[in-house]
Amino acid sequence: MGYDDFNMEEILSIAERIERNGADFYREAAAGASSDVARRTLEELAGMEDQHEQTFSGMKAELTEKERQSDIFDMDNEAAEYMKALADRRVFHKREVDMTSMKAILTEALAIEKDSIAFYRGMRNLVPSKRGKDKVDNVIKEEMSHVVTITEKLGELDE
Amino acid sequence: MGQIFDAGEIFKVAIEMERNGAEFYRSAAGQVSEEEHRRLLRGLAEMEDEHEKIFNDLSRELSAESSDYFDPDGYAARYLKSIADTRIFFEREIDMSSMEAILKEAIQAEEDSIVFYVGMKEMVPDETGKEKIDAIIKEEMGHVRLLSELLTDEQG
Repeated sequence: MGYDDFNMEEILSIAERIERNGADFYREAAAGASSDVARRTLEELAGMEDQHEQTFSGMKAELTEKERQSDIFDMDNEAAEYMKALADRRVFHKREVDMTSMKAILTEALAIEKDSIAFYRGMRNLVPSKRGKDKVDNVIKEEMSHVVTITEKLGELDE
Repeated sequence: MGQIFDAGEIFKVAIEMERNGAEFYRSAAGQVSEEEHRRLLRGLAEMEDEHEKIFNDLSRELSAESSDYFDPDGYAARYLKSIADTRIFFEREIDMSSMEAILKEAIQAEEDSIVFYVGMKEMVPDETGKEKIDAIIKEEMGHVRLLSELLTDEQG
């Protein structure tokens, strides 16, 4: 996949897409969930991803014209290539998941959350303002809490 | 959750991740046929050796002041334990049948390290320690970049 212009706007659009993919995944999984508890957990996770998407949309709206246009390869070539590599590998490739198995769903959920954390960690380096960095940090922290929730649910399945 | 997973254990996991990484790169270097690939994999192994040393030193420096770990509600520890546990849950056969397979495994392992160290940084109390972890994260990001580039060539 080629990026003619890989700028802050593009990065934030990828972040929005990561969240939208995540929310779609959780909703689809919730629809097929066999227990109410599982359904509720998955719906809550979807709701949080919706909020993250809004955070990134808000950040996009606040970009100045200069920030919107400037090629991030000029700003920080390393961070840009790192994020491009992650985006190419995961964001644009949907994996096949057996949605009838809660274990398969949670395993995929964990991979999604870890991918997000790895991507946002690179993004954090590029976001210019302290306020922007704080917002990315907050999203990272919430994704970290999802990792904990998902792992605990996985552990319960094994019992 | 109490102190099931304390700072010492967290460093142990980090050290083990680096050691596994170095071993993986060395054994992959033994499998590939191209000299250039072999050199690259050995180079990566050496960088992971360096990281292991840094974590060792950091763990020693910090153990003297372990009460300073900043994790009031045990939050970072729970996260780190989750990541460490799931690595064990999903322990699987590593595919070394081709350079493409090796690169895919390596990228995944580097990403897992980054995700773990991001949580670790939260727990380390002082600025110098945080900076050291950041430097390692940055190098692992460099590895993801390099490995992804090679993967693109390989698939090209």
